[in-house]
Amino acid sequence: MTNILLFLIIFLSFPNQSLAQQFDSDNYRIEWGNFNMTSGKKSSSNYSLTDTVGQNAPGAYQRNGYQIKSGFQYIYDTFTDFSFSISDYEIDFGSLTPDVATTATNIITITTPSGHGYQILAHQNQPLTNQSGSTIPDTICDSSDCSQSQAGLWVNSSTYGFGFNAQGIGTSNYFQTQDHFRQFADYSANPPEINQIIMSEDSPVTNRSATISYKVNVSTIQPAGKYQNYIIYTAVPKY
Amino acid sequence: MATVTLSPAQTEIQIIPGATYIKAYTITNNSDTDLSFFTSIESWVPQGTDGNTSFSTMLPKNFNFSLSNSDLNIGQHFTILPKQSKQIILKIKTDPKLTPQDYYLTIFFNQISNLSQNNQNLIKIGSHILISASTEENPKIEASVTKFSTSPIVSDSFFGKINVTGLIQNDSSFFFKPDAALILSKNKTLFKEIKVFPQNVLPSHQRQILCQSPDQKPIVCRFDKPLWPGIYQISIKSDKPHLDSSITIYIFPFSIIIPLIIIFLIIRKLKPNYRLT
Repeated sequence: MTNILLFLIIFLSFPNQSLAQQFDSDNYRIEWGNFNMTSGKKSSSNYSLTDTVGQNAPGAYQRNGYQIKSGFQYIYDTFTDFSFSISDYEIDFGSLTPDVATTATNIITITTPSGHGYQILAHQNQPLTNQSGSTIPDTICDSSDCSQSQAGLWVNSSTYGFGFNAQGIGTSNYFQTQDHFRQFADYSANPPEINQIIMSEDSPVTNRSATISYKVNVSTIQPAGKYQNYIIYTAVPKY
Repeated sequence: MATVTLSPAQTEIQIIPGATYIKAYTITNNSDTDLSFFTSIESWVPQGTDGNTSFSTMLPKNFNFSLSNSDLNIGQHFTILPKQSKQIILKIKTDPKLTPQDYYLTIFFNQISNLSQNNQNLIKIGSHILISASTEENPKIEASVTKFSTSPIVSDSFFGKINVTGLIQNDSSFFFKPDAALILSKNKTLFKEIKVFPQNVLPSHQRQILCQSPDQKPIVCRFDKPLWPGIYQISIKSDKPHLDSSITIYIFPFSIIIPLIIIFLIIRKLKPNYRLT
């Protein structure tokens, strides 16, 4: 017992040197206040985990209108950028048969960073126009009740024009069913029509997609020719 | 296929009139073909109460926008090769005469049609810039809560959840993020607290109240019902700016009480009447 006590006295009498984690160069020294013991992404068949072990004061803090997200775990928030894609930017209806509606589709996809929802707007530079200046007018739908801001039912083969529908999460406020169509807001109109929201959500999303269906139906008196226009999709975050 | 990535998605700054601000944006072409763009700046105003915007090409006075890129100006075309990025440096110069207030802008990257690719669909992707022009470090913020309500007000203890809705109204000249919480209490005893999601509330506009999920995403505000019946209060509390609004809800075990009452009435009706003689 006496030997143990003596050993402890001798052992504790020697000053211990503490080593903090640090990096040195010829001109700089970075001293770290904490050890990071482990971090990164781990996964199993049912779970995925990201962790940082050894971190001073991690967490989200907020005061007086300022926010701080402290800690390496929040770095994953910065990995998600604001991204938008169109699956097929060439929409070719081919040869049109009068009184027979033709449709074509593509897919738009959006990803938003942490803390931001999104809105997607759509407009056309002009109506479908041929080289002679003849146009295929925008549809007004079966009950003459659709516009660039309001969708209407369009199933009747004797209803002519050009319009579109969007189906997917985020579009239900703007298109009730897949048979409800709208005109594109027309920037060539006088005055130019206002760009319209066609899809939106309040929460951040990853690879959120919607199918856009373009529909055109012409009458027998529609002048022949190759008709074309541009559809511009505007993607912005919610503020 | 055309895929474009833009970073950052939004910038919020406070600037003294007369100062200059410079911000770097990175636009990435994740497609397999060249994409060409030009930059533009548009102003916007909030539309509705859920963060949507309405754009205008009319820019506010006393701002000068330019690019610090040596080879580019605003409106000038540039091409990004497949899987490549380009950094665009936006310079915002303000006039000292700039009126102290908020200004809302978006820098857009507008895809240009490539005739060789025959594309009819074009991408226009934007990053918001929220600018508070002020000579004060901490501009005064005043706000209030409107249409604060819950559904249902009288409900059963066992079924459903308590949904809370409302709007935060910004009564001042600068945008802010609410630092608030929804509180479910009974007789001033805290039962549960949910943090309000700190969305930007713009001056003279309202923003719907959303709550913060455990992984810090905006969600609909919803409380689990307490099992113990009684009269509860749901309130929103914030110190800066001061927000204080409260509603009373009534929770009772109707799903137990009503069947018991019905059973009691049936038994009472079926029970023969005995008369003592």
